[in-house]
Amino acid sequence: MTGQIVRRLLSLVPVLVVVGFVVFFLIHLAPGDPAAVMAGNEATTERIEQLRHEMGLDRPLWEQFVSWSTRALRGDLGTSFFLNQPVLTAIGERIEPTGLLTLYALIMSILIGFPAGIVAAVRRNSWIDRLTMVTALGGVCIPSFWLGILMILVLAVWARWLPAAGYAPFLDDPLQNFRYLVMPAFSLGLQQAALLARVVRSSMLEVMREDYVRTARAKGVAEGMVVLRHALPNAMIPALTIIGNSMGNLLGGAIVTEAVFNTPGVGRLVVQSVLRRDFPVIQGAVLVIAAVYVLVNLIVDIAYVIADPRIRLSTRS
Amino acid sequence: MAQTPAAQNSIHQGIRSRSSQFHWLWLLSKDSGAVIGGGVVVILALLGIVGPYLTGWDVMKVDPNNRLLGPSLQHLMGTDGFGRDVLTRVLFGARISLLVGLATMVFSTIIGATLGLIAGYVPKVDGFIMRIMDGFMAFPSILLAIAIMASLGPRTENVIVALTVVYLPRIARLVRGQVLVVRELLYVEAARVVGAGIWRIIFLHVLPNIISPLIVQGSFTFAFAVISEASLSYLGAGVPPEIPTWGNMLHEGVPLMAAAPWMSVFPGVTLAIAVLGLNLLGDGLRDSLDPRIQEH
Amino acid sequence: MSTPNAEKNLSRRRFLQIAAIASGGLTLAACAQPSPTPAAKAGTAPATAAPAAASAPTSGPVSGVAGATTGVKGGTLRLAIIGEPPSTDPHWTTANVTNSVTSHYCEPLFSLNSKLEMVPMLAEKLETSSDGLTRTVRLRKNVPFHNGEEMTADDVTASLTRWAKLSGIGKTMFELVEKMDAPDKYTVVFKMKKPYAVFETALGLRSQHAMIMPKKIVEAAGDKQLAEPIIGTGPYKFVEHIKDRHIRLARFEQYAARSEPTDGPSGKKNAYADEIRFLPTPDQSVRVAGVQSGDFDYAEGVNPDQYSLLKDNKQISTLISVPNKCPTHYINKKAPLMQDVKLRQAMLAALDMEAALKPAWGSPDFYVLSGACMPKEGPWYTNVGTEGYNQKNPDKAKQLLKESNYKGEPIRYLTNKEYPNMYQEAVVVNQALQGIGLNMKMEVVDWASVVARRAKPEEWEMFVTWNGYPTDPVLIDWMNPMYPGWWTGKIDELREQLLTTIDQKKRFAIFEDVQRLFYQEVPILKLGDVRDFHVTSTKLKDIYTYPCPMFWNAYLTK
Repeated sequence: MTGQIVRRLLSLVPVLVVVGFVVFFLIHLAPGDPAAVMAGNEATTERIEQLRHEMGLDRPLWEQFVSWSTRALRGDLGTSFFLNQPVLTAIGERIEPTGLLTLYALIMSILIGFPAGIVAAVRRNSWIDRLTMVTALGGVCIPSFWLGILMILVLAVWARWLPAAGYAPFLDDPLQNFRYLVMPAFSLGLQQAALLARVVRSSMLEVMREDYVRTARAKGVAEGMVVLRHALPNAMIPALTIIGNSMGNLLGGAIVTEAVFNTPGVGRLVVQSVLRRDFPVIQGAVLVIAAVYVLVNLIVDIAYVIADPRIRLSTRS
Repeated sequence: MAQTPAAQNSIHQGIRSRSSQFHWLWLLSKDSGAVIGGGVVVILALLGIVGPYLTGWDVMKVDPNNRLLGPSLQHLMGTDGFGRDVLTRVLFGARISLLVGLATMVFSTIIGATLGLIAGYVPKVDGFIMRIMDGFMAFPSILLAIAIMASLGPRTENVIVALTVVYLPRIARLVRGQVLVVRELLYVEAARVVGAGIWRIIFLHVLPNIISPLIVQGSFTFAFAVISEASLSYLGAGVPPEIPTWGNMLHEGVPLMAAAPWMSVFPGVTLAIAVLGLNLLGDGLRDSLDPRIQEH
Repeated sequence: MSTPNAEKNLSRRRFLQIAAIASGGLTLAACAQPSPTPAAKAGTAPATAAPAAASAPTSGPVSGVAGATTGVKGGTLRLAIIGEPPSTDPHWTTANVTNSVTSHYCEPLFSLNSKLEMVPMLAEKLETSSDGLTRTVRLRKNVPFHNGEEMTADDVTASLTRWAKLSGIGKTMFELVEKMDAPDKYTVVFKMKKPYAVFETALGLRSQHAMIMPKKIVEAAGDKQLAEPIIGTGPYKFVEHIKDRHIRLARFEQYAARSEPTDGPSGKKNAYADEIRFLPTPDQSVRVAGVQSGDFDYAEGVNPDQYSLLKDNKQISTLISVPNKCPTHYINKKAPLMQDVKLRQAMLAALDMEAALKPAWGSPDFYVLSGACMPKEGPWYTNVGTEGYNQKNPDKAKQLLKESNYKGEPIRYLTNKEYPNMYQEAVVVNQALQGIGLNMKMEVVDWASVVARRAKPEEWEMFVTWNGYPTDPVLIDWMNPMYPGWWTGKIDELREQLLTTIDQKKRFAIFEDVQRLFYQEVPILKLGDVRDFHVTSTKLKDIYTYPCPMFWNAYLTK
């Protein structure tokens, strides 16, 4: 298995190459000039040209790509045009909000999705089942940004339970940190919760029809024990797949959620950088996100293998 | 004579009772959720095509003196910031949003399936193609779409291109996986030994097996594409703003959520209904095409 | 807006249901809204809506401050601004956000007062020779920088030299400077090549400010951005800047305030608040929600359509600024198609300015139908030559179009969504121009693209922006022949005269000629004057809003 892991890690390289290539040329070919953005609304053409030269934007595109990618290979992602700090620093400062947001969203989706799915399966075809499934379906269909604004209006403005905006670093004040992140985490995690609930339910239903479950029931084991000891562990496996995939979806969804709730994370950084044409940040952040995504998938796959020894760790899932 | 698709499915799944080719349609019609879902989508599509003419209001013409009016008999869903009738725009939006979703689904399926077929069947290019697909899949999809839109410029066609690029890798992987499985099947080996040409094998044996998952995946791709278009437009990176899509209407309406809630509530609800319908249809398709309840 | 009555101990699933009901409830509420009359509510004196007394705008923008000394010391101001500034270095960029932030920790030689006159700030006095060619600036004494050093003439010359290299206005001004030197510690002498009418105005212009900073720091930075913390002489000093999160400033206890009472941006700066925090918050709804929920004390750039909803809200105060800018739709006079004057006049004739301003600025509380090139509140206001403004005459427009050489060629019209009002104006203007038969091609791109393309004459025929009002007409953006639009011709001579004539009466007459020419040649479609809408906590008082919000005299009541 170690060999497989090593091979998977190595496959990170070509993926990052593709990602780097695509993002570099996509961004540079887009119209819009970072120097013009920096120089402000009423700047003269000369000032803009001055800035362009300083930023190295007047060199040929291939030269810029080679220079950027060779430095990126050494771990130097360059300096942000707009923020005037190294890209890695800029990303590093913003990892905490995004990481915590994704983590809370994941936890919420598990805490909501799992019980909902189990209850729905156990009480199949009852009104609880139907209600849960309809709500779950709804959760997938409501655009998360719309839900987010609704939540702000109700919970922050009207009820004043939660703050509308802002952020407190975790190490400073974990409770405040949670209060700032709970709404974004919820609106982000809801879709995943819904998905998880449906998958858990259907896999539970499937497992509960298996022979060994029927045997347990026939032996007189209480229903609750049947669920907990026999059905649940085996139903977990497909659920794990979903949770694993969740990370990728959550990272992507975090971008929109951070825009709505103004969370100072990597997602918001990327959106703003696209608007500001802050090329080094866009390129660097996308590389980092892609690398994280691939690594997370690898970890999930390893966990999958550990959970179910019947499954081989393959290079392609 | 090659076995029917239904029978071939049974080789994988192990449980099957009928052998009619269109049994799945019959099963589908029994699933009330799927029927409702499909019906909703069809109704929205029809309303999208015909509706704007029926209301009597112009979709684009501005009327600043009548802006931000609440729902009334004249304007069932109120007017927006330019004085345009919201109902007419929501109906027109059905047209565009569903069209973008459908086009994305069709193109990503065709291109993705082609790539998947080639990758599955021709081992030499398999690695290369899949690396590129993995590379694209490592992007968070919304980001990739934004980046492509920033490059190409804000036009409806470009949204379709961007979303197609985002979704086709998943389809390619799906198809490739299926192809790999099918290749090993005995009768395909047999066909190859007998000397059947590669195209014959693909069309007669491989394709029928991948159609079912493609259909199921297709309906979900449709749903995701509709929501993605809305997210892109909400972020300002989607279809040009004058063109009414549900996403654009949300983009304009959400800042005024408190002052003029009708501007965002109606498109939002319609969007949710459309996506709901597509999801119900997809669920139904999945259940009827693969009778044993499967996971993802 | 109806909202559900939520119980205390919500389980998550119940909350989901309530959220679903909430959106349904909103639908019902939406249906229950009475249709308001489209005409705007009668506005009260719109100069200021909340802090302190507002008087009718007769003599300059109202500050509501007129020497207020009743401020409460203490507290932290949490200000939600529209975005992260491109730089905290005042010489670096013209961006409004930068100007607004830097003016709290840096100061220029001259500054505006509430009557839109230029008065000394770091300068003590300005002496001008009789031929107008020698300008002597006497500096104030014992003015400390944040690092403890005293401000001297050398700091001024070093700062201005750097400013001249980086700023367009600076460059133009210094082309006319033959020599600048510092004969003694508190004197700077400028020898001009020609009389330069806008000497103080240029040095006090609130856009890529000529701020004074220590010589060593400025010279070390050269052409690169200044490293933080930025050192200046202002009433607040730089504490911390975390990009996209906050900029923190603290009161500078050794600040050397002027003795005159506060008069707009000039005079005494009281620095009541202990700390000022600028919090970049790009989403407008979140800014407003933050003030309503008590997380912010101030939110700028609020959508004017929210005014009718927010003005009766007891939790917050609304603040409407004095008109400080005008929406301008530029016409590319380097494009052969647009050099046809009859075509431009036809465009002007077709426009109903109010119809274009309404969707963008909401109501007459926020826009002023004024065709003059300078604002009503200032000393340059005149109506001369503005008959062409707001003609609303499509028939006349079509007639003019027939007389022109226009043959249906496409007209590329650039606008963007990041400034929503630019988009909304463009939609209406676009339809109006289409209505008289022009082949309009409106392109909605992002702001970065607009700025990139408008620099290239082959890429556009029209684009949308707004221009802030400087205190002197010669410094208006479109008076600059290099600014995209490139208005040249008869205007060149008028501009030269305006620049080099010192006598105020003569300048006013020249300006009237400029305005007449503006409406004859129609280099730009000017829509009107507009105000900004800000929202504050009820506890925050005394914000001065011209030309951009300033907080050094603001305070929080208990």
